[in-house]
Amino acid sequence: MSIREIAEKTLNAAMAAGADEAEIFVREHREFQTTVRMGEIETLKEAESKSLALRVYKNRCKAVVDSSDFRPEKLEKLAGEAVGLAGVTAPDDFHRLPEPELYADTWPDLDLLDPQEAPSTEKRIAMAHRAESAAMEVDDRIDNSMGGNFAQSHGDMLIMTSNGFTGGYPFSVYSLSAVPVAKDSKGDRSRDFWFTRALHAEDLMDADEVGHRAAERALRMCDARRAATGEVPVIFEANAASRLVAMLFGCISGSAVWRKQSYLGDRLGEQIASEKISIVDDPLRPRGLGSQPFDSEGILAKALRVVDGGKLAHFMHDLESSRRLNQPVTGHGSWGGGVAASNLYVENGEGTLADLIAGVDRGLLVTGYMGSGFNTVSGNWSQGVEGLWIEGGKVAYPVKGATIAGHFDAVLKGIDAVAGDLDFSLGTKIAPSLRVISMTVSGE
Amino acid sequence: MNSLSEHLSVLELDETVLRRVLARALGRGGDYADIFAESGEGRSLRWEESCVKNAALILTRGAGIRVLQGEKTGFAYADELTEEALMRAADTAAHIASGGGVDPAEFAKAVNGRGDYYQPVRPMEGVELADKIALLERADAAARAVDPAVEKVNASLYHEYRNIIIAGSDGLITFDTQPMVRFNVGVVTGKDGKREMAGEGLGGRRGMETLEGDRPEALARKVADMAVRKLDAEDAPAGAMPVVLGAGTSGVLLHEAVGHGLEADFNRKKTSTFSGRVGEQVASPLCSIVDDATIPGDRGAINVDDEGSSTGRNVLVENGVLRGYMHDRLSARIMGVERTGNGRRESYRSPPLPRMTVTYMMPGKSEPGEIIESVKDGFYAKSLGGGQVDIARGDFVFAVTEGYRIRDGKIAELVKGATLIGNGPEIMGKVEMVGNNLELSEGMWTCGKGGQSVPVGQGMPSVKVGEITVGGTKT
Repeated sequence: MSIREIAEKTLNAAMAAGADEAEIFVREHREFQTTVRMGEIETLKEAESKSLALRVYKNRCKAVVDSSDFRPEKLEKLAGEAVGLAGVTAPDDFHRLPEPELYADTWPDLDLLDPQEAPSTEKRIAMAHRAESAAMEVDDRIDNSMGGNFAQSHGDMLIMTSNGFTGGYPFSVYSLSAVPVAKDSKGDRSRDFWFTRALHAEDLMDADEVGHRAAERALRMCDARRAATGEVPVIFEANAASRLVAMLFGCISGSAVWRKQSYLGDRLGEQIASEKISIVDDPLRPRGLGSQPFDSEGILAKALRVVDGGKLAHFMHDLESSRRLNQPVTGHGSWGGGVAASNLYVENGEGTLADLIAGVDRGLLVTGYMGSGFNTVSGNWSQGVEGLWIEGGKVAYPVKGATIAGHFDAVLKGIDAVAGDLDFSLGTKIAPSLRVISMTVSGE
Repeated sequence: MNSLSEHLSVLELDETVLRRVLARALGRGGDYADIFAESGEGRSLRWEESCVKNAALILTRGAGIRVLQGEKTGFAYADELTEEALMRAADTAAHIASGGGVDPAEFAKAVNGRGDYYQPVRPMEGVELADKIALLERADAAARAVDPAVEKVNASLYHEYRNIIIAGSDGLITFDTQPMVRFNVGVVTGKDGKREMAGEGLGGRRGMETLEGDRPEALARKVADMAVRKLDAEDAPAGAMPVVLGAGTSGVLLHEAVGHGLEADFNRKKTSTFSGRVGEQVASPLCSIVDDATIPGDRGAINVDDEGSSTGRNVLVENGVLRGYMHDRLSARIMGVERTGNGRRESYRSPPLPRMTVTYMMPGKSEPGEIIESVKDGFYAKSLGGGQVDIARGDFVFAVTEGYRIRDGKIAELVKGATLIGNGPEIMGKVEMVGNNLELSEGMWTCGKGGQSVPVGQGMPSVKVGEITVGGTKT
């Protein structure tokens, strides 16, 4: 059965079983992944699979079923079970499909599928091999590796609702990475990685470049020391600054707000960050890693400026949270439940990471994280990091085993410099390099 | 379900099909091939705003096929359990192999030595819906009664079972039915413009009996009390200091600081800080650490691993000396040692990796009270949350969910959540006292590795570490 047939059959079965309303999401994809380690194939994985999620509403009661079992008789049974389950839940006025006028009726082609034929299996293995060997060739201190990895996924998805929306689109995504391990002068191992990810194979960074960057990152962490404990300026290189965007997202998601799980819950319209910070969610970037023409609820996607000059302009909503908070829909529904961003980014400032470093007499450049220690409810943040110590406006030596801590409100308001190095290939929640005027660094 | 034939019938498979598929998988060559077939069902109820807000059903069905040759792994999976779909997957998995086809062995009639480590007294599948909802309702009422500062109470009940069959080209065919139940409570509190949150869960490979008596209420009260007290927590200290780790959840320290570094895949590749160190002193002589899949009903217990190997109790570190690693089939063969039953996978969609089961430290001789009394100025990490480790360097972090200052040998003020950071071998060398109070954590631990999540267990007695860096704000 095609995904459209599966969607129609299951949705019809749910309505026939007594649902008032129903919506279904069906996805199929073909995935491939290979790791080449020390020049030899270590793993090669390939598979085609489908997944289905069905939501049903009956008397304003909701139930959800997920399945990987696509035997036709089971689909009908599943739909019936879903309707039965809805009888268990309590009625909730917010549990119903979107009003049909909210649905997207036309949408742009965002170039989410690579039209070129995918590289051959041999070429894919060769790319993983190349990324690893490029890293190994950089320096003799790199004497081991956790491999080069190539992955790709091609698929198609469809959303169908009982009140008139049907929409879907095909997609592709490729990624390539290398994880070299270096041995420093004391015999300690230092591991780091670099990656590239793109919807079209032609947009991937060259395999040599991936390997070289990974090697440079592993090498610069050799002979790392402990950091001194104290309050100093902290710079986040672009790759690490992404974490701050992800943390902020957790606090401006409507789902966290109505559940009172965000310290920003009653701060709409207020200054929540330095005036240098403006944040946009843009689902419509062609070939964007997080792009989508409509969200999982069928609502037309549009760009939204969530933070403007440090002021919190909007929360991001799925239908339920916009209804509960009586705020406009923003098109951020997700099938996992809750709110999802698309391409959420801090707008570029000026200058380079080097300019940010030059402005610091004594401080820390954060290049990577360990663990996660952010409390969205209170805003407290304590985080394991690694990075480079800065002395006199220059990188002095690598540091490990340090933490940074502070209240997230003070961190966001304390951003005194934003570089112009935003890179959309780094992910779906991203920022240029940022400098925070002071945080507590804990080490020795 | 207690027989192979019942498992085969649920999956609509039979031995002749499995054998044909294995023959196809080894059609180009290879040392070994296996099929991991699975069908499972999970059900959840989510309680919010004092009523059941969502009910969910999750059905899983499919099979993964793997071919091993040397250090290479070829893997493919199928959602359909038809012979045609399995044959296609076998062809894909065979891609890495060469050298000419091999015949799989006939299936042996006797199955592998399976444990019997979970016997739910009242399997969740047989529990009335109303009884399940009552658990959530009771937890809600108990949490709300704790303090007027309680603003939101969430609770959820999830239970699942997983029927698995593993058929190997070595003639081994085995099966298991793995139950799991999880009960979680989360509370948000607010007072004077401050807001806090706490959450915790309990459960395991058990049935309704694990939620009997006032256990839902007790959990809810504990969580609510914590969320209330956190409103008045002081700033956590920053810097290196003596740290006492509380019994139970501190097992996460072992999991991160030692456990991952002893998974054999990292060691055969020599990318772990513990590579090549079997027989060496890697921790203080006070430390003996085991990984034990045989703890009855524990979340991390398994009767058989996901490669069909027997599971057991494996001593990793004995009196500070490294005794061995945790192996899957591949690492055991390459390193020339016995399998330890640690080959685990998230589902049929992933190949197995060496993983932990229930990892804990053996009790020592110190009284918990005397451990606290021995610290003049330090930190008491009573309860820990998730952590992470850098295998190559051995550096690890974990999050403190309930921490106090220790002043003059006494537990003092509650402080805000902080991250602790250190180096595994270094910290284990600085273990100065080990309590006689081993506790297995009932927390709902899930371990992530290589993109795969598996349930695990952990435990720890009270332990004093001479120095760990505490990542607070107060310098």
